[in-house]
Amino acid sequence: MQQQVADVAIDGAGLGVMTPEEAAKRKKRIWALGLLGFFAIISVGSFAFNEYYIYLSVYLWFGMIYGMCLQYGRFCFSSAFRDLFAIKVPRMLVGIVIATLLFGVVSAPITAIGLSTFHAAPVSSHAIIAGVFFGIGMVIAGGCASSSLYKTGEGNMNALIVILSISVTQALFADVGGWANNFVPEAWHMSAAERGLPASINVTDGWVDQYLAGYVWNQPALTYAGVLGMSNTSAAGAFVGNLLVGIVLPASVLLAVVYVIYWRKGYRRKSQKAGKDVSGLKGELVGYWSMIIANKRTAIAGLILGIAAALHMLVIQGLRVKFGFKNAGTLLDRIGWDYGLSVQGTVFDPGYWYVTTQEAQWVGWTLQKMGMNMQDNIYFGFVNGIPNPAINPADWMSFALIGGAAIIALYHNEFKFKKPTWETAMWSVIGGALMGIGARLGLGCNVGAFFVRVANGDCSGWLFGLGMAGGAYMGVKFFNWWTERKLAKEAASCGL
Amino acid sequence: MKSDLWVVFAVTAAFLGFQMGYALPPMQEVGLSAFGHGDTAVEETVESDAAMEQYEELNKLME
Repeated sequence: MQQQVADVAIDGAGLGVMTPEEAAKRKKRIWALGLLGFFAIISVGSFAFNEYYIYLSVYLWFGMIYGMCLQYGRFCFSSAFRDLFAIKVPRMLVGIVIATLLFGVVSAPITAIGLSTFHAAPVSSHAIIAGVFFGIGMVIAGGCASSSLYKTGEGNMNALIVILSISVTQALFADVGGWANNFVPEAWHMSAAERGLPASINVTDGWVDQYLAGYVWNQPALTYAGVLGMSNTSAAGAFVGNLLVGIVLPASVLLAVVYVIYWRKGYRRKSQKAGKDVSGLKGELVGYWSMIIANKRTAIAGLILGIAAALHMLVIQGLRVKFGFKNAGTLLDRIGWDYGLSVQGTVFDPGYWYVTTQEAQWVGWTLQKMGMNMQDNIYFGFVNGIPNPAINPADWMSFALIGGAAIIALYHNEFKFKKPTWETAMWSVIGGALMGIGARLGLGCNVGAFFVRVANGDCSGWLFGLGMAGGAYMGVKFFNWWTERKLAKEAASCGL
Repeated sequence: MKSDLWVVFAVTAAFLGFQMGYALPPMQEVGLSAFGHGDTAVEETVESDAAMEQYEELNKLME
């Protein structure tokens, strides 16, 4: 009787009796609105305390939109490649390519105006190698850097382990020296030493330091507009160089390859069964289009992501102009938070969507607080700093991203705590570690080194993507081998 | 059942709208109407010193 009473909750509006399922949904909606209220209070309260905090709030609200879009679109690079290579289903990959293309369309005018905060990255084979590490890692972990954030918002604790693993690995990898110096080529060592970096960085002690200062920084940072001799901040450069040549053409070719290998056969079989004419060029184009629109949800999420990311750059640039600084380190210093700034007084302040560096930063900050010197390297000490996570702009973005994903998951009844098993936790740690190494080698993850770069006409973006695809293929093959081996062992133990 | 999801969108839009309104005037002043010259205008407006210039150069290579 008591249970029956407990199961029947009275609607607050007095409109009727709710079933236990409805009561559970209502509870989730209240949690979602609570999260929203929390972010609103943080924003209003911090702004009331000091006007400068609006800069951090911009990261927060755009982070929340990113989280909502990622959760809605199930935006996962790991699923995309795993589905393609393991079961030959290209829907998610196509959705992601379309989303990247749409982001490019939105970014082009911002670049042309000259208000983009994006900077091209160095281009060389290191982007491919980094992508391979990252690709293997994301398949093994069961989620990429961005999807692990939104899955954490859905209550998936494996995804949280992946984030922790990425964060810790990056922080340690960026700082590793001593024995690791033995693996630094002499040319990198000499080149890094000649950079004239501050003594506190100790650039000749640290594998990543010498990799960056001795190799990566010597590579050209190129956009497609630049390669074609156009200015980025011109209509021709932004729309023809970066968008058409850098995104539309390669994306179209990639989608055509995917269509021929993974989509065409199934489409033609289904269409012929339905009595449709699929002959000639028209038939092929209709088939190609059917593949493009197969994953509307991811494409819609990608369009909103693109618009949000472009607006994010615009608003950040506007606030930088309004407050008169180029980097949030100056802002933090002005409001009295000078702990953890880099030797140049800067912190990580990308001005657009980014995932991995802020994850490394909070671990760097924690280790520094525990007595380790985490600022004697380029990554933290010279460029990004290790500010308190509570006032780190990019950390506000990541926390809000998880919150935004949680809000949408709660509303769609997709929020559920999923406990890891020992085996899945192990794969999460290993995969996260590989992604962390890949992210630092490639100076970004599937978002920072691929999605954002490709969409902004950076020549290194597709190279990272190529490596990521290769790595994902290896990861899928490895998992197939592992699963078959495990099943064979289990069958043998059962005497089958 | 899901009708109050619009509350989430409305609150998010309100905050973003406020932030955009906050950032729009300085943006207009420095470059929104100066097609192709926004970056130059931004450079001229923001505080800059030698260390920040060096950071900008390195940041271009790090991101």
